[in-house]
Amino acid sequence: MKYMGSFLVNSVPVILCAEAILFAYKAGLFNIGAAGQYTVGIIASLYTSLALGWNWFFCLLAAIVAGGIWGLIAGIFKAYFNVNEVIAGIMLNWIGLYICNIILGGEACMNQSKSETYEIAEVNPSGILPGFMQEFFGGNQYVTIAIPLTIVVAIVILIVLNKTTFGYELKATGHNKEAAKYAGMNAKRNIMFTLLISGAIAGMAAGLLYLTGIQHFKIASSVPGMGFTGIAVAFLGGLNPIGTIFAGLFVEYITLGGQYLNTNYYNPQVADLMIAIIIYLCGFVLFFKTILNRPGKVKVNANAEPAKTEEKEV
Amino acid sequence: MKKKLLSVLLVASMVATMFVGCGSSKEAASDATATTEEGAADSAATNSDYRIAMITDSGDITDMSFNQTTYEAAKAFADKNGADFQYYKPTEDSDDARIASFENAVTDGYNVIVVPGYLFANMIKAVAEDYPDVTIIALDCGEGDFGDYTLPENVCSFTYQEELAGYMAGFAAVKEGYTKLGFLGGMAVPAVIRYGYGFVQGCNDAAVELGNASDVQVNYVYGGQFFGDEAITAQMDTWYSNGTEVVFACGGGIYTSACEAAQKVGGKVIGVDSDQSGTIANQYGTDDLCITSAMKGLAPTVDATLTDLFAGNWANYSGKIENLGIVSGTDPSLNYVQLPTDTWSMENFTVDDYNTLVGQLYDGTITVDNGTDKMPATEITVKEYDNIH
Amino acid sequence: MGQKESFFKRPAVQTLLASVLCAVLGILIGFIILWFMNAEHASEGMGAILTNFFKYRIAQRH
Repeated sequence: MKYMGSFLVNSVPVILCAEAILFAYKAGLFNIGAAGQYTVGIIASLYTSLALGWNWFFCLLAAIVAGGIWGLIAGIFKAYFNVNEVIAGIMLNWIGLYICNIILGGEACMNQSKSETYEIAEVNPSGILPGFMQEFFGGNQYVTIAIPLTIVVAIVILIVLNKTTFGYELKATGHNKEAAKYAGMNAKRNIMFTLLISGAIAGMAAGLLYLTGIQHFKIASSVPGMGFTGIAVAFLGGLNPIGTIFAGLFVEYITLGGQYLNTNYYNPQVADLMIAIIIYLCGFVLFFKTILNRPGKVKVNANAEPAKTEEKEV
Repeated sequence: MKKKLLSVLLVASMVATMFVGCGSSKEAASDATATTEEGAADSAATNSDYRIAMITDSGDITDMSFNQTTYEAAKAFADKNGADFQYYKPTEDSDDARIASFENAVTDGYNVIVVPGYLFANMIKAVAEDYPDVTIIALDCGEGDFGDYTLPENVCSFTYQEELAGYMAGFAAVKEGYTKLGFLGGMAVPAVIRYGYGFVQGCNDAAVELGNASDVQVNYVYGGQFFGDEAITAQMDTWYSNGTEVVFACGGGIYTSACEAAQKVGGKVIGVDSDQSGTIANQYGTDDLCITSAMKGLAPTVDATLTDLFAGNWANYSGKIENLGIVSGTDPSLNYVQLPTDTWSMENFTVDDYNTLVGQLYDGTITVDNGTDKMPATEITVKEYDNIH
Repeated sequence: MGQKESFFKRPAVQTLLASVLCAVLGILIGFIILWFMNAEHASEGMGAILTNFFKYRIAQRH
C-alpha cells in the first residue's frame, strides 16, 4: 500500500495540471503556459515555506495566487493586446523558470552543497500539508490531503463548467468568441478570468506536490515537463474533469511501471520512450472519436426513409 | 463499419491482455527455472549466493562519472565471478524513488546493493535496518551526509580524500611551470569542492616554494552539471583566450567543454577520477592535451570490497565509513588518490618529485585542509566566478 | 436493437472508447518497440511494466 500512496502523491500534479489545461481549453484557450504557472507555484510554495516559514495553508494559498497571477499576465496580453496565448505562455514559461532558479538558488532555500532545496520537514514542519489516511497507506509519510483536494477540485471544475452561468459563458466564448460577444458576454473579462483560474490550478498543482516534501527542487535547465504531460492527459481524459483523473492515474501508472523493466535487456530510456509514445497517442483521442462516429457508407439523404437507414446500420 | 471498428478495438484489447498474461506466466516460468538453477549452483559454489545490483544516482550509467565507473567496476566483477548483476534507475530524483528502487532490487532477489553518491545517505537511513540480510556498499557517503546515524552492520561506506588528489594535481601543475590555471567543477557537491580546494592549496604551496606566488592565478567556477555544453565551452573559451594555460576539469563529462576550448588555443587540461589522458587523446586527436589526472580509486574500491565480501571478510568493513586516501608513502600506486605515473608527460615535475610529494603527504609533513565551507586562504590569486548553470 | 445503437452513439461512451483505444494502442506500440529491441524478453518486459506494480510485497518490518 505504501507504493499506492506514493503513486497517488505523484499523480496529483499531473492530474491538476491537466485540469488546468482542460479548463482553459473549454473556453477556447490553449494554456501552454501551465508549465510556467507550475514553476511559479513552486517558487511561491518553496520560498514561503523555507525562507519565510509560513503555515502550509498560507504556502498553498501563495502558490495558488502566484499561479493565478502568472496566468493573468498571459490573459491580459491575450485580452487587450490580442497576443496569442500560446506564445505569451511559452515566453512566460521561460521567464518563470529563470526567476525560479534565481530565487530558489539562494542560501535561504537551497542546500548549497547538495544543490537541492532543503527538506521542508526539517526546516519548517508546519509547512508540510497535514497527513491523510497515512496508516492506511502503510505509514507513507507523504500521503496528505493533497489527494482528496485534487478530487474536490475536479468536481468543482465539473460543477462550475456545467452548472453555473459563469461556466456557460466560458464554454460559449470557447465555441465561438464572436457569437458570445454578440450575445453580450464580456469576452475580455472571460479570457482573463479563465487564464487566471487555469493558472491558479496549475500553481496549486505545484504546491500540492512540493509541500508534501516528497521531492526537492534542483536548479532546472528546462521547464518542468509536468505542464506538457498535462496537455496529453487532458485529451486522454476526453476533456472531462473526472476522466482526467483516471487518465492522470493511468499515465502515472505507466511512468512508475518503467522502473520494473529488466535493465539487463533494456536500456531504461526505453521505458521513457514508451511512455512518451503512449502520451503522444493520447492526442489522437479526438481522431478516434471521429472515426468511431463516422456513419460509414450511409449517405444522408433528406428524403430517404428512416427505416431503410436503420436497417443498413444494423 | 462501426462494428468492424468495435471488433478491432476488442481484438486489440484482447491481444494486449494476452501479452500481459503471457508475460507474467513466462516470468513465473523463468523464475522457476532461475530458482532451480540457483539451487543446483548453490551446492556447487557459494558465489551465486550473492546477487549484485546497483542503483544509479541522478545521472545514468553513461555519465562518465560516478555511475559509469561504479557500473563498470561492479559489472566487471560480477562477470568475472559469475554473479548476477543488474542496475536500477530510480524514476525520479527523490529519496522516495530511490527507496522504491532499492525495494525493487531486493524483491527481485538481489542481496548486494552498490550505491554511488551522497544522495543515498537518506535512503540508507530509511531502509538499511529493515533489511539486515542485504549488504549495502555506499560510495562517497560521508559522515556529514549521515549526520548522527550509526551505520548498521550490513552497510559500509567509502569516502575519498579528493583534496589530496587535487593538491597533487595543483602542486604538479604549478611546479611544471604553469602560472595561469583554472578549476572547472561539475556541481558544488562535497567531493568536487574537496577536489577544488585541494587543487587551490596545491597551487598555492607550489607557488610559495617557487617564489612566484604573485604571478600565479587560479580561476574557479562550477559548471552546475556533470556534462559539457555551449555555455560552459564559452566560459572556457574566455578563460583560455585571456591567458589561462591549464584547466582542471573536475566533473564527469564536463571535460568535453574544457577540451574543446583548450584545443583551439593549444591549452591544457587536467583530468579527474581516472587516467583520462588516453580517452582525451583519442577523442580530440591531440596527444598531450591532458597533462595529468587527479584520480580517485572508485573502481579498485568496488573490486576490493566485493572480493572481500565474496571471500567472507565482510567483517572488515561492516558498519564503517572509511575515508580512503594515502596508504603508502613509498609506493604511490597503492594509494586511492594519485596521479597516473604510467602516462607521465610532465618534464619539470618528474615522477621522483611526485614520489617525494606523496611521501611528504603520507608522513604528515604536508597537510591539506579538507573543509568545504570556504575557499582556503592563499597567497596566490584565486578568482571565483558565479556558477555557469 | 435501438437501445444498443443509441448507447454507442452517446458522446460520452464514444470518448471513453476512443480513450481506451488510445491507451491500448499505445501499449501495443510500446510492446512492438520492446520487441524490436530484444525479441526474447519483450513480453516479459511488458508484463513487468504493467503488472509489477501489484506484485510487489515489501517486507514490512516496522
